[in-house]
Amino acid sequence: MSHPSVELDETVHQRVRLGILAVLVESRRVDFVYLRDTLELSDGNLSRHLQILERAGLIRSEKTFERKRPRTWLSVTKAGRAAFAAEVEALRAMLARVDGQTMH
Amino acid sequence: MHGEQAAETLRAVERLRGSARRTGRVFWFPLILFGALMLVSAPLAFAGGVWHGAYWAVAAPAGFLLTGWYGRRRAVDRGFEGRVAPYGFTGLAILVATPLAAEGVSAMSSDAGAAAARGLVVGAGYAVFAWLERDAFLAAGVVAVSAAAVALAFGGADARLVTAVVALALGSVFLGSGVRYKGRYADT
Repeated sequence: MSHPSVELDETVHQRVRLGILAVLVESRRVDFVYLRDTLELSDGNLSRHLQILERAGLIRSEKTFERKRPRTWLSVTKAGRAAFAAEVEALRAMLARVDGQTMH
Repeated sequence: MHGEQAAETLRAVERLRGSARRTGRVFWFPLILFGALMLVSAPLAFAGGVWHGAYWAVAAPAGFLLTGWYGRRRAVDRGFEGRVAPYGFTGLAILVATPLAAEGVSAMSSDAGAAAARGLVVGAGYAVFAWLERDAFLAAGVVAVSAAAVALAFGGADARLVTAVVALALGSVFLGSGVRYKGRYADT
């Protein structure tokens, strides 16, 4: 049986990207500023992580113009939802394995 | 990755998800709105005539549209749009099923039965909302009112009385739940 860490996806596993997906799976869509403030990131840092997630097909972005201002809305794709669920599952499996070893 | 790191990561993920869920909560608005609309409809129901039906023909779609407008406005203000599909479908189902159920029961049974059927459909819809929101207070309220509506109808009560009592009781439950909800999520 392989170690649960093998199941961790490098794209999703990174802490900030996992945080982005955690917020997006609870929403229909979220704007860039909300994500930036919630995750306490700089514009540049958030943009880099969003690009990686979008290139992997895990999120999608939509640019709109609201109240005379440009705005970027982000949402999670079906693949992103599945990748997030798999990541959480792998983390739980890892934790269960450690708990099991501690009890023996 | 060690177990302790995995545990910390999972805790951080759950904190973020919980915070996002709280941000997305706008359910107090339709509860208070439809609670108030229900209470206003009670005297019209008791008075009888066409006014009660005419009132709901305007108030129900208007309330539905107003809720959509509020949700949209709040999403733009906050930069966060919660998941709306389950709420929208349930609201639409209540709008469509309530008159159909009342017509169906009225043809087979009595006007009091039709009044109880209306209350049951609205109650069932709000039970779905209560489940979506994990709100035991709202669930208990709508189940109690639905049971009372059936008991009144089977007890031979007048249709106008059943409709008025259901409107008063459901209106109070919705309003109470909405105010409670608004208090719990003060920043919403």
